[in-house]
Amino acid sequence: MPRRARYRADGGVLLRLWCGVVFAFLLAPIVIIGLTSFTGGETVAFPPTELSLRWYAKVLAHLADAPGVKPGLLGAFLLSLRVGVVVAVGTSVAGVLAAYALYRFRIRGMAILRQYFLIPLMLPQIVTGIALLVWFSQLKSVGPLTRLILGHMILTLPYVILTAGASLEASRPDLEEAAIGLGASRPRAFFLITLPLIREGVVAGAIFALIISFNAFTVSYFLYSGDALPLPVWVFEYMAYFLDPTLAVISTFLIAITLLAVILLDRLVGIRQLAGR
Amino acid sequence: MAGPERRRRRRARWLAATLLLSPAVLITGSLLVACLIILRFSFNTWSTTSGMASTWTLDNYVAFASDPFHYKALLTTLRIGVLVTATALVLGYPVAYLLSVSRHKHLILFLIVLPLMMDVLVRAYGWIVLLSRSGLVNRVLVGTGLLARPMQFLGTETAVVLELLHEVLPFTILPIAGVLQRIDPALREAAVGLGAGSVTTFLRVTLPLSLPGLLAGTLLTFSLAMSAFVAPLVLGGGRVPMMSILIQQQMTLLLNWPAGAAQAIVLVALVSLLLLGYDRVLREAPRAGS
Repeated sequence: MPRRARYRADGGVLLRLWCGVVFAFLLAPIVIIGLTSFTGGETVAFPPTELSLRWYAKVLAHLADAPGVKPGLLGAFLLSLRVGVVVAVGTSVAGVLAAYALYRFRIRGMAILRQYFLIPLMLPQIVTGIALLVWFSQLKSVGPLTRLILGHMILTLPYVILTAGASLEASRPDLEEAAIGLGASRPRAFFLITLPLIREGVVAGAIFALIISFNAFTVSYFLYSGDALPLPVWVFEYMAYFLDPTLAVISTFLIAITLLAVILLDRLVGIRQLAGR
Repeated sequence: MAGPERRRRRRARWLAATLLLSPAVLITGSLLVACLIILRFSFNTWSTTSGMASTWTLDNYVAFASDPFHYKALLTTLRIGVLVTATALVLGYPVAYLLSVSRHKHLILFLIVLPLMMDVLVRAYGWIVLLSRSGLVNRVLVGTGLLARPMQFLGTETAVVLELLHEVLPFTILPIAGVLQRIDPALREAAVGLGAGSVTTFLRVTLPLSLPGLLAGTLLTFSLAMSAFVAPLVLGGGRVPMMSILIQQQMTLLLNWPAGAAQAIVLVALVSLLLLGYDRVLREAPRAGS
């Protein structure tokens, strides 16, 4: 069959070339930031005329105090980290409990509830941002840090429920039933049997929540205040005054963190899970 | 004897489910409460002198539909949405195809997911560096003689479209790849065995079977492009009037919350319609694919 040899499921050179262009497009802004961070020049002009680490030194100087934006870079980073950790822990607890009920209890209406938890994914983030801005302005007693944390918990909860739910669906419910049959109470069976079984999914959900909280610019933009300024908003504010290569250094640092997180997530649950299906 | 016992058990299960679900229901519910409040505010009136007054009027929606500056923002948003979606489909479909047949699935998925997980502001900054007057794009265009002198990209629709394309491409590729992966390779082999060339096989077998994924990817991409905020804010510098920029300016600069709320409700209505279609298409996809 001579024709058979001509048919290539893997696609020809043209397909590979096309995909190469698309990948170059996807990676271009990331690569350019990394390269620009080593420039010795005053601007982000590319290619850099000379290489140096002077902007890395400048970032160190900005840690405590930067021109234009208060507080310093380190303060914004620590705030983002604090919010992210609280959000990751909080949503993981709420999300795993909810996923357990959603995916293990056969009660009518659970299918509708699963849809209910996806609402934050369907709303444009700018709408989530302004809706919370308006609501919080009516509730005078809610502090700026609590606003950010609640806003980020709303955004991250669907992801945690989905990853924990996927792990629950993949694990065997009969092991837990066996433990109960042998005399364990349901909570005991959950903590000793089910939770260890879905551990990877839970940890992945928490890391996912941390990344999303760290990157949630749009919602943070409407909820931040001078006392609670997360890192992406800090970068945005700094951008309004300067576009010098210090931002490239900060971005390179954030890219490195994300790269590590993605590799970690891949090890834990596989990249397929991250891709959504 | 079995009756009361079963009823007691069922009540215990309901109680357990309620306890387990309540923290999560409250978290998501607070967003719903916030949305109901802006829905209510969208029927209020506002004036520069006396601020917001509680009423029930459709004035904000009428103002939106009759003020050219406002409905033009909607048209700009739709135009950018169509442009970005069409380009993303042309760029993304071959990648989805490669992803479904390649032996290096893992690497390809990694390259697609990595930008997805990056801070959107970091990516936007990357595009600023690429598109600035002395940036790589201008260097290449001038160097190859396509442009006589560097062009101003930042603050234009071109820059917004490029950044947006970068944001949505993974969401275009993944649903298409999901459906392509479910197509039985035997169908393609049968077509080839019956004498079809690779182009005919693609056009008559693969492409028609992947239509549900294509449609789902289109709807998801379009809804994301329409709700974009960072691209018009950072790359457009607020000068490309998309719906999100309009809403942001009403809420934070003009402080006309009822008008901003009404514009947000319009945006939500449009995006929800697109996403309901997406959900529906994907749910029916397995039947069409097998």
